Amino acid sequence: MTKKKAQARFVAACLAPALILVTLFIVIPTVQVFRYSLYQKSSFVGDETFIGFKNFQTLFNDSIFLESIQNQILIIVVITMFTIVLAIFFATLLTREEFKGKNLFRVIFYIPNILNIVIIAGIFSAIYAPSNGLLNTLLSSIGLDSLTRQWMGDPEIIIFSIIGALVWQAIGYYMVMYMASMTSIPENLYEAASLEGAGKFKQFFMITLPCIWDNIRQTLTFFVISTINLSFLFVQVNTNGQFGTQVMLNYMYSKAFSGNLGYGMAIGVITFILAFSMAGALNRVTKRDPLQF
Amino acid sequence: MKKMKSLSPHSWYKIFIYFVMIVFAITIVVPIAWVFLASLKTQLELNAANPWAWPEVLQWGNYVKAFEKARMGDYLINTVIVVAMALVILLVVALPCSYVLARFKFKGKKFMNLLFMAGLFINMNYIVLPIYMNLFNIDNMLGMTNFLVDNKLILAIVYASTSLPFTVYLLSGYFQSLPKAYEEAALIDGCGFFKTMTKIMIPMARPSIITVILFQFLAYWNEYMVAFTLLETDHATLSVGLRNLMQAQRSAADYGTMYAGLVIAMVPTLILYIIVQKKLTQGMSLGGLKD
Amino acid sequence: MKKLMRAGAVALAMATFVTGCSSGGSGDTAESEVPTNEDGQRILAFDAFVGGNGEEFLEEAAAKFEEANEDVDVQIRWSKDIDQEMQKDNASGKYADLVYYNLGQASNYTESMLNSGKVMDISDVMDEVADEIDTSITQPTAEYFGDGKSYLAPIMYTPAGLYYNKAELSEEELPTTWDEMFALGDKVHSEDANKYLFTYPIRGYFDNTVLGMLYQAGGEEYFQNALKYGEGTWDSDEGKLILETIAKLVGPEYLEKDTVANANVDGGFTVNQQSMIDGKALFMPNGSWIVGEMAETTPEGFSWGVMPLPAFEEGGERVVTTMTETVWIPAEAANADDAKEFIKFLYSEEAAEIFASHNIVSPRTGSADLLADEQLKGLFDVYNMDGVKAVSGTYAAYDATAVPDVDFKGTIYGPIEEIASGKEGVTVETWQESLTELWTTLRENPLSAE
Repeated sequence: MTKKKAQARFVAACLAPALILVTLFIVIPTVQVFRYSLYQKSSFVGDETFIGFKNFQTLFNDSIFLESIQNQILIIVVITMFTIVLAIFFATLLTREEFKGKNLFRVIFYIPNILNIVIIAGIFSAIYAPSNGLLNTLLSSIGLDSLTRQWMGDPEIIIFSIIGALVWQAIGYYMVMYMASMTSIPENLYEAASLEGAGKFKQFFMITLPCIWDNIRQTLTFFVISTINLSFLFVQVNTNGQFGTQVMLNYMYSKAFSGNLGYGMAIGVITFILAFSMAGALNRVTKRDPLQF
Repeated sequence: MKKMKSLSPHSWYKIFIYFVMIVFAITIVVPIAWVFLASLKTQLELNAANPWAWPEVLQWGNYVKAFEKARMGDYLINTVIVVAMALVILLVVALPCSYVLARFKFKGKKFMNLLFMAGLFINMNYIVLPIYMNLFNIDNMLGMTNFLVDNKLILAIVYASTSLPFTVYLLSGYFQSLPKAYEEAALIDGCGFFKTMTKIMIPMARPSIITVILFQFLAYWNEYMVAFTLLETDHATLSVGLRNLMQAQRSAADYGTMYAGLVIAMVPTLILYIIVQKKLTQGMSLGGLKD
Repeated sequence: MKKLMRAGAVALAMATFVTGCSSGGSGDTAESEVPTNEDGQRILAFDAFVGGNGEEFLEEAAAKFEEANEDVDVQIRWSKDIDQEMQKDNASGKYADLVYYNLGQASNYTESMLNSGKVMDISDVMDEVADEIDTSITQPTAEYFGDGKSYLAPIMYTPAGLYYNKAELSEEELPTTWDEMFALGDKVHSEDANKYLFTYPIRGYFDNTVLGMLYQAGGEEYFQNALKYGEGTWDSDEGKLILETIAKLVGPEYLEKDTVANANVDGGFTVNQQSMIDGKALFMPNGSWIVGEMAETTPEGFSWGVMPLPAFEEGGERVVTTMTETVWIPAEAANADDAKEFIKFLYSEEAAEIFASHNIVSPRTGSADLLADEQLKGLFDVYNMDGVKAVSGTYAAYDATAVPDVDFKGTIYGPIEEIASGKEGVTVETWQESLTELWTTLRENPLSAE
């Protein structure tokens, strides 16, 4: 039975490093986030007092926190909708249509995804600048003066300006993902549909969409998780949550770094819960029988 | 009128496709190209009403300033060190773990799988504060300042650890898809478990390893919040240095240097992307996930 | 299995180690010996915040001080995040001998040190230099608790009034009351639709404007009451007058149209400052550092001026808020003696000259005259204007941990930009209500000594 022993030893040796790292740097810190959310603790060196759920009680009377949840949900929903529609649109064109320069377009569309969020924030500051911004000067030069806006100065618009930047950043990534699953759809399905006289539009809804449905569902979870993160990073380097643009993780950071670590951790806990439940809900709502072929 | 008639619906459709493709491509290429242009302007030109004007004299001095003042060179080296260490640690730890999870039956396997699946949901940004706190407190107990905190190796370990769940998920999926015959043959030939893994299985997993490297390289290279929290300004990585530069140059009303900094940070990424773009976008079909 | 067990044990041990460690309180490290360097010089450990004033002015002063005191080695640690560095050190019982960190920072570091009795009483130093410095500038800050004892040493000051272009507005044209101010705004805007009365860099720059208005609206007693979150600050005629005036000032007729959009974006304050320089707005709240800050893009012919806040009524009091920056000695400093000597040196003629060469003005009497830059010197003449009152003050510290949902700056200054951009549901009334509520909360949660 030495072989069995050897195998057991091998398995343990292979798993141990990963297990240790995951425990030290994921499990324990996560437990700590939950633990400190029940404490009044000013900073990482401050004293701590157990206060039960008081942080959460305060949170639900904290107008900025409520605003940050609202913004967060709005951002997730709008970004997901726009990005999915546009990504599928471009993916369909790039896989189903024949035209020159397809590869070049695919390469270009993916670029925003590789850029650092700090760079993206820098670029969009230039785009949205009020008087000599790229967007407003472009609109004026093509005679669309009426469309120029205070992109970062209008309380009704600013959150959508942020959403615009994040959609711009995300389209290429999801487009490439959808392209990957579209190319695996057998060509004969389209041929058959075409023989039956189904147009491109119909083909899309009858074949493409059902075939990539599982892939779309899978990406919904990514949308929730990544949008929470990216909106945080973008807001952090751009507006820092001023002017009604607060999002959850940024609020968590600003509280945790300004003498309210415990309170910040409570915000973190609610963000966790929101992410889980949104991903779960989306998963449930979109459940369909996958199309077999 | 005649010309319009001669265009069939099909041609119109083609024109429409090109139109939307080009419009979206422009929204990406033009702002990035503009940053290059802006990095060569004087402050007065950047203040001007028309942002599209060409600079009168190309201000290469902005780049000199960005390199010297913001020490972009140092940040670049720091980033390369951290990213390289993190990738090595990640692969050394993740490969054996994924292989074992994919190929062996053992007690607690379900638990391990569950642990890694749950880990997929937990992003670094949630937990960086407790991580920092623990490192700091351990330093304090050991009676040292900035031993674990402000340590590039620790940052690399944090990066590797927090990306383990996704990497293990991706790699073990790939290992599962490999035919069993090879390793059975190797084991019969008298190769030990370890040798079978390193000599046979890991080389076979090359495509998925490349995917992991490409994805995580970008993620680490662009990572901002954890580096910002764990490293002190003097030892910052490119993202953090860039952020500092942005703040400093905007405060100093010197946007030209700021844009030069953006270009310095952007160019290596773009070059790398152009070299590996095929692999990168192919790799996504292996099951992509983002941070 | 052994290996795994061992690994598991290590992980477990680490886990208990990690989760088990909470902070230790402040140590008992009152050292009796002053540490020395290799050459036997006494070390004066000086923690300093890197801000708009740069580092040279203090480095040069320290070098001069070392020349005169050969047995002292001033070691300055500069950092943009010096508060965090100090907090970390304090947690392990380490304290600097001297600190350059102001009141009113987001971290509230100086305030919490003051309120927990960790700042040394330096009344002896301040008394010794009292004859040589302008105590009307230093006293309000130095005597933080108002008990006649000095804890902070303000080493520089600047008039934080309304800055304008002297080349554009002559002294006769300057408004003296808010009514005249708004009339001037109407006039320039009707002559040129792209020209406005006012802009601000970012909302935080309203701090000195609000302080000055508090004084103007209700006088000394009301002002002091307001700084301590006293009742009747905002839900009074005075409070309403202040808020209504600000709301009018940032209305669409008077506020430069791009101000809010620029102020919302990280670093956008220089864009707003630039638009004032470019003549798109007549006035903005700022400090004398603006001259150097924007020097590179200030066209020739532009000439900086500063005026006190307009009075609320004809012949009313004109106020210019004075901003000071301070150094202080931690109570547990190992080398407090040399730190005190160094503070005295910072108030000397020699130091004032060094400061002046970096466009910084010491509170030592007559220091503004040392400035080489005529424009800059002219800014300090605002104190010599007839009927102008120099005011300075800081809000009392509150227990931020007990009221985690309080956003002090956001509640005071946030509505300014919301009103400016016409956000629905935000009015002077809602602003007044939330400020009254904020004052009540803060009044009930003072920062008590730990």
